[in-house]
Amino acid sequence: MASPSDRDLILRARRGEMEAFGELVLRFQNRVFNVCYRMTNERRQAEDLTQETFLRIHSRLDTFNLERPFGPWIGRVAANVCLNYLESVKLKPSELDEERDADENPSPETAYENKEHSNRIRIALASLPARYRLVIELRHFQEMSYSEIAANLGIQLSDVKSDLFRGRKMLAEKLK
Amino acid sequence: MKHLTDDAINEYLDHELAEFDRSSLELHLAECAECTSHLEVLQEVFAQLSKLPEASLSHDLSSGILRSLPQPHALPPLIRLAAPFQAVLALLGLAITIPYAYEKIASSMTGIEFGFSLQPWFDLQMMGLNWWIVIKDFHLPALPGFTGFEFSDQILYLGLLACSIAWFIGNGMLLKDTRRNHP
Repeated sequence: MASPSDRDLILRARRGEMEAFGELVLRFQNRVFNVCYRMTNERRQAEDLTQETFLRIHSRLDTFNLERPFGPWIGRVAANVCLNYLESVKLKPSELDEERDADENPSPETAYENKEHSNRIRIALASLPARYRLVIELRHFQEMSYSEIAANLGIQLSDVKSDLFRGRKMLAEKLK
Repeated sequence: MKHLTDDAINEYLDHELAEFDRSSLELHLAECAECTSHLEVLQEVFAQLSKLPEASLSHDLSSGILRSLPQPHALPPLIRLAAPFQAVLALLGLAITIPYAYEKIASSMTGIEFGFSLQPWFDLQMMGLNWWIVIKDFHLPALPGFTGFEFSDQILYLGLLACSIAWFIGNGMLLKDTRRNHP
């Protein structure tokens, strides 16, 4: 039997079916976790924020436009949850998260290089101010346009560009 | 030579420039090593970000998330029975009133054939009236110090009033519950 579409699951979850919402969580938890992990570079914190994101999604499910894809929407919700968190705690640049990223059975040398490489990027990202991190997340990973980011965050288009370009500049210097 | 701005290079890489601006920017890049170098630095940032691998969750979070969700509030069983109870009352109301309404309409529209018989309704109504007479004539056995209890039309009206109040309360609670669970 074909698995139900996201739309069907959302409609059922709106009617209060916990199982349907559980299926949505199963489908999207890794995606949400990755947004949170990129934003915080702390695995444990990212898991907590993933949970918080799904609680927010559940409470706002009625506001989701069923004509649009679900994945990008929850990506944006997750990014906003992370921004709220980062602004509330004013995180210091994160230390190296020792837990390894998932790769598909790489050789020990490749695994080491990949781990080093991804850790460098994650640390560089985590060292950026939260606002810059957010626009980079929305532009590069959620693939939103400038105007979509501005509308989503409720800020001016010029602020989106300014944050994004400064964030990239800082990132370029840290990745040299 | 005037160099490209940071904004222009970023917008070029983000595909946010109009076609005309893209073409003129590419013409400039073809002649300017400094701007090309600037572009390559940014392209490297784009490439590094795109190479960032997806991390995997160490465990399934779904059960914890579902436990944290607000549980739907269950209505008391009595209130859940309100809907079928109201349906029964409504059917009784119809059974009582339709024959009267039919008679009223038929008497005011003489000569018009309705083409259907309301005899079953009259039978049902008659059965109900017979039951009511039986109930009215029923007397509880008199006990010392207790004069007994008689059913009367007032009791019927009070019963209907009580049912109406129960109907309003039941629907009010159902509405309140619906709003709480689906704000």
